Amino acid sequence: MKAVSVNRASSKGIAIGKAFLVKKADLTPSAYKITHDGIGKEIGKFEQVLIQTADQVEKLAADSEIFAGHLMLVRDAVLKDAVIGKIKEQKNAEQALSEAIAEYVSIFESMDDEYMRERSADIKDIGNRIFRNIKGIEDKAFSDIKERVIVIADEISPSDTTAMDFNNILGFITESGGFTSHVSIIARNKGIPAMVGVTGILKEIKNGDMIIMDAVSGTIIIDPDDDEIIKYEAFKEEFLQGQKKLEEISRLPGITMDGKAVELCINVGNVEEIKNAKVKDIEGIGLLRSEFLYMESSHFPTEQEQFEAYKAAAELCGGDVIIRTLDIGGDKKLPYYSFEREDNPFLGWRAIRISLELQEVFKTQLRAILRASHYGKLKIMFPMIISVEELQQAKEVLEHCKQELRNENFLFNENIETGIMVETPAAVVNIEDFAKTADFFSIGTNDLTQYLLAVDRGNQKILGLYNSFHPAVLRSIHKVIQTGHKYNIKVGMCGEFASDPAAIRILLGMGLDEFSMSAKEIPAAKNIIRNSNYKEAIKLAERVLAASTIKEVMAIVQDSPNS
Amino acid sequence: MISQKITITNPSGLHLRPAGLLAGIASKCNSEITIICGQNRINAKSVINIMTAGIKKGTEIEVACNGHTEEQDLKTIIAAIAGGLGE
Repeated sequence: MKAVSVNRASSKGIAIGKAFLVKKADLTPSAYKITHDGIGKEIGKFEQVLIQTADQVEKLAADSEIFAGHLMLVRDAVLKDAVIGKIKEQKNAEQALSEAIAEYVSIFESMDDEYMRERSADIKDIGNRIFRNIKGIEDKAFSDIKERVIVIADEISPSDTTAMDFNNILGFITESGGFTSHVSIIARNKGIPAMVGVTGILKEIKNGDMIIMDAVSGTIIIDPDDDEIIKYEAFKEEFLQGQKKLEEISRLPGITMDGKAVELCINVGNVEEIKNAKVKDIEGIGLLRSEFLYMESSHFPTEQEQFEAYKAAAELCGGDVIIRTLDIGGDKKLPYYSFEREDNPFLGWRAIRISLELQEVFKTQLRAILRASHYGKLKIMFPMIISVEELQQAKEVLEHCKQELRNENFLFNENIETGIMVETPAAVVNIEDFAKTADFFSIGTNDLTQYLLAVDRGNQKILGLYNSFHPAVLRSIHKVIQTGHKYNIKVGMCGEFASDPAAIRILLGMGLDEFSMSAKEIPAAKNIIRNSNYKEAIKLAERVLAASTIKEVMAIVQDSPNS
Repeated sequence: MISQKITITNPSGLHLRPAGLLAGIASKCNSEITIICGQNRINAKSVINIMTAGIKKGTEIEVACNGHTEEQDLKTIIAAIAGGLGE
């Protein structure tokens, strides 16, 4: 028995079975030189093969986006010219093709974008297909799989997967490839466990070896004994049950055992994420960070560009969408705007401070949000607020924008709600005053913890001091919720704390109305809520709020029932 | 030769699919079509060349056309990019 630990599982799961090592046909090019007179003939042969290859790929492309892409690569004039150029140097077609492909592969591999780097696999795939056609060999490696096996290969290309019967695939282990490579995507879609980038694994495993691949904790066990197999069979069953349960849960409402309902919303950084989250299953968007419009652009985004994004968000999500106005500065900069160097950027010119100074930029954003508010339930949230004056000023600018839009006959929600992100100690201390001016609160625990405790989140040396379970943070959260409720204001939370398994029941007990987190955290959080008792949670929150040290807090959390 | 500037709006930039579409449209044009992006001059008729330029969302590029049909071709290319290249 031998165990190999792996740090990158690209599709979670556990598989137990026989290893099937993929041996690829030898694609080493012949080394002979062609004669000067033979150049024309060799080019003719290559062009013929290219047409043959395009015909093959065209058939596959009919119902596959990946092969539609490959078809474009086969037909690429630059690739063709590169190969022909090399044939003119008296290289044979195999040699010329291999060199040209290798050059393009290395260009793609050196690109800084992971998606683009992994496209080198598409170039290789298409190169191999053309190569096999020159040699007249068929690729049968994968069509040979006739029993249920764990496939182990150097890499698995889109062409390979078309030849596979997925019913026979228990898992994938590859030496190359990453999270966005073709095999990873296919494996996740089909729910097949996969580990990629497992260097050296082909040397460790022999064809037909019994193996266990644990793509949950990241282990491969070669030649396991019976006890090990029994143990992992149980893990596998447990994992599958867990997955099934979470999937079911994510479709159920976020309601405690004794009937207290809370909202579970998602935090998103762009419109794509809303599309990817199964929108039907989410109740709303608790935080739409608008920075993506600014940071992925070469200029301050225009009203129309922003309007389209916000409108798309409003239409994709049936529930409330809270748009946070531009929150840059600190560690977030813009490529087209020069920020002055600051000694303490987190205490510097950022978020609402920038918006109130660059009023035209701010107005453009508010006009875009207002116009989009006609298409769904949008709300506006201002970040980094420290004083009621700031909120008043922001609302004045909003009022001005409304008047402009009325004059221009645009339709928008006249009663659009405006709230603040509660993330500064000043906002907590003066929360009662804010409750009279704001329509809702959303607690941003990441910055709130950092500012309350005066601990820089990015400083490794004091990382241990950064802890949202600090009584000062917990009591601040409680004060905000209580005050909000006193004034009939909904209180949400969009920081990481809202999805912390140890924190959820405390927050529930404090009365938090809305929990907002990244989409992937929703099922687990919902599971906790659905297994909680609201009355018990209230007691838990009371005990936690009475604790004066983090240690006491943690002891109470661990010791409480159903935690 | 005539040219026009335009900003790429595709969410993941000019990755395989939009690059392929662009190259496909450019290949049907008679004039020579070049994308100028920073220091790079890219043959717009090649999907590989467009991809290796790594053009991201929000990047402003210049499309230059040279040939008898340059006016019509430039319009075609600009319209295709503005239309989001199938995305």
